[in-house]
Amino acid sequence: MSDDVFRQNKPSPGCPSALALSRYVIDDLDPDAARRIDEHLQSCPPCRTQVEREREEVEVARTAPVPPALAAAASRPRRAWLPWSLTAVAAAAAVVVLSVWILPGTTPRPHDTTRVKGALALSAALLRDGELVFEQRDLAAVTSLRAGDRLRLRVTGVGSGHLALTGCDPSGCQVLFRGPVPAGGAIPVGVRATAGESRIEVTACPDATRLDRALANPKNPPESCRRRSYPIRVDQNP
Amino acid sequence: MVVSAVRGPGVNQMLDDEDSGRNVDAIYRRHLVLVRGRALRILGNRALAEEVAQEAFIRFIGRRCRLGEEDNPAGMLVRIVTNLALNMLRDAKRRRELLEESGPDPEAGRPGGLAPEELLLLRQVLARVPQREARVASYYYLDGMEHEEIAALLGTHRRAVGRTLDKFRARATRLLANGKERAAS
Repeated sequence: MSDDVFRQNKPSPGCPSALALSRYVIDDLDPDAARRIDEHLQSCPPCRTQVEREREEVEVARTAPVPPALAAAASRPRRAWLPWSLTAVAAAAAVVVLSVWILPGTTPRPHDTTRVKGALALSAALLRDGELVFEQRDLAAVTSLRAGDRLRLRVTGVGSGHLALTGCDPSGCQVLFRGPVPAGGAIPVGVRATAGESRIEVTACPDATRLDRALANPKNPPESCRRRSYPIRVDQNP
Repeated sequence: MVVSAVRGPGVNQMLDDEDSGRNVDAIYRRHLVLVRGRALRILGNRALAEEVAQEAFIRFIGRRCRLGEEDNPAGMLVRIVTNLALNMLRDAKRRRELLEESGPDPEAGRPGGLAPEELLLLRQVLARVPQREARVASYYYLDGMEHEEIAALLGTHRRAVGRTLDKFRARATRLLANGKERAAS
């Protein structure tokens, strides 16, 4: 905006924001956004300078001592829920349940479906060479891995029931985890990648019996089950 | 099998690592430059930016202990450090130190971005407008973020961002005009 009271703090209006460049440097952008910045950097020396400067600072920060006050804050015991939060959640749940049960003409069958909280999805934390590369990224946005990478997965979009995590490659599939939906959705097994084309599937059902049927007959699972598949390409470690 | 489960002690070790201090170390080291850079753009003073960044990490960890892990640690850290830095900028004693007594840090600028004098003037206005306007304006002017990017970060609608920026512009215009009048008299 030419008649604005201030200019924006960037070389030209088409440049990415400073925050986007910082997130680019630490690999915290989705692949499309990162590609757009890659292309922009080809033709923008000031942004390239900024990225180079931040890369150097990030390199220094990799070995920076963690402030004692921060370490002390991290060592405090974790409180997952406060009593008032529980009360609020219980109240919210009551409203939801009531609004479902009083709908006219419906016969509630609470054990027929998994409790749905949105689309079934997996997010991942990636450990590479002992370093945490990213946390809680949508697994669909994780397009390439290296052999030896370790993933910690979290399922979202399902509040109760049973689920299975399956790893597949051209030779077949192997169930990596199965059981009740874990608290907070955190899958209690890690996943290690080895080179090749693969996919990870998550299947959620209201109970163990239907989950068994879904796994035994993946092409025709019970209607109350949901499944999502994530193709994964794993490169050799350079 | 291309993807295989890691069971037993290896898994426990991995989960323990993530849930304990090592994870905190990793988050701190990974996001330090991003968080400190945001504070530096608001404050224009490296020492105070370091101080605010550390406070932001402590609050982030405290929040995580109470409410569990964040889906977007970078976004949460940016929101926390922005509020802390703006509070410092608006604090009367700090404001004198930041905006009147010491000159702007040349490293606080962005290559090809605003000149140090322009940044100083912008910070002077940010220190005097309501917090919400200062927050949105700092994302727009200091970081060069567009309306949609700000809306996504704050979890609001881009039209709300536009309205807040319009209010900021009107207020900034009045403040700058008053400043010129005072300087002339």
